[in-house]
Amino acid sequence: MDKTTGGDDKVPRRAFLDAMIVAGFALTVLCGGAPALSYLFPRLSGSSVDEEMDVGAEAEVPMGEGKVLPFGVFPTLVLRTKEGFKAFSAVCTHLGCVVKWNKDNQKIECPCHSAIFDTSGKVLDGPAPKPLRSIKIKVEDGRIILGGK
Amino acid sequence: MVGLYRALDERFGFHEGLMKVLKKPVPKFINLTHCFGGITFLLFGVQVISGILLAIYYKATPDKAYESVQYIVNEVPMGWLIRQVHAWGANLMIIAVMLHTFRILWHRAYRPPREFNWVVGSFLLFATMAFGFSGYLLPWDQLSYWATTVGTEMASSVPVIGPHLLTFMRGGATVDAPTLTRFYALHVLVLPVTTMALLGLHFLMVRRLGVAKPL
Repeated sequence: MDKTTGGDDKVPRRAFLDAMIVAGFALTVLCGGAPALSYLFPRLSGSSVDEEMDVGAEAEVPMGEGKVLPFGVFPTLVLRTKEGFKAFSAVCTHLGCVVKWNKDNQKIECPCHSAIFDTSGKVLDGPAPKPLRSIKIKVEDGRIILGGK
Repeated sequence: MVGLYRALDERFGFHEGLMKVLKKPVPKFINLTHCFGGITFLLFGVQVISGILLAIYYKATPDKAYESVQYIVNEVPMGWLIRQVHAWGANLMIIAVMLHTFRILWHRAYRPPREFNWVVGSFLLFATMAFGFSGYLLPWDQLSYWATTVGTEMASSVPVIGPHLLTFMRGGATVDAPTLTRFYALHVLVLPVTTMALLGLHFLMVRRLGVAKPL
């Protein structure tokens, strides 16, 4: 009987052992690779606008001013106008730059490609295809609360 | 995959040489003690991969280092695992490299014609310990801070050059931000490159001269 082929077996012994070694190696790589891969994708905290979040004191945004405050993963532009507080996603609907409040002409501007929005988030000029997304805002005990259902 | 391999081999003709290297038979007298070097190399590979993963989130500044390590452990998925694999791998690598050194001593495998491989191996041992010493500072907690203070202080007792050595290691008078950045540079840039080069020489020489016969 030929030892290397294992006699009448259809799969030679050597080929079987080779396959087992490859399978063992693949399994090891998989066991190490799966946690390593998940490690590369950190959890994003505050990834829902449905959760309320205290983002700062009312006094941080004086009358006629606008400020970008971090609201979870969404940079949010908080405006204080004569009609009260307003909040918009500060991510420009064009290519995702963070917009700024221009106090002088009371408009929201994107520094990247000069998209201009009014105080209701509507596009006035520039390449932005959609208005800025409005975010719920309320002021309680002098604190600005963003989000909520 | 097989098709791609064949196509590459047709053009560059490496299959025969590669098989000669991979299928080289080992001598009959090989036993478990001859595995320590290979185990050290395996652990080095583990350290490289887990170290690259840690470097992705680690911040080598005094105000962020500790915080970033806590972030890795508590926030990043599997971060605790990657950090512990790196820490345990480091300890096990020191043990494995020590066992390897003892095996060489025991078998007197350092004798001619293998003296140069012993020298390269010694440098690899020093590199491994330098890895351990520099990596110990990086979590930037009380333990690592004072361990590095004491460790660098020891270097200052060397006659004549001691005080200069201390300043060189710390990058200042005390262990501070410059120490952290130079230990980090040493740990992730200087030592890995040096170690890989030395390992190349180490393996080349062992292939050329073969494994030493036991006594």
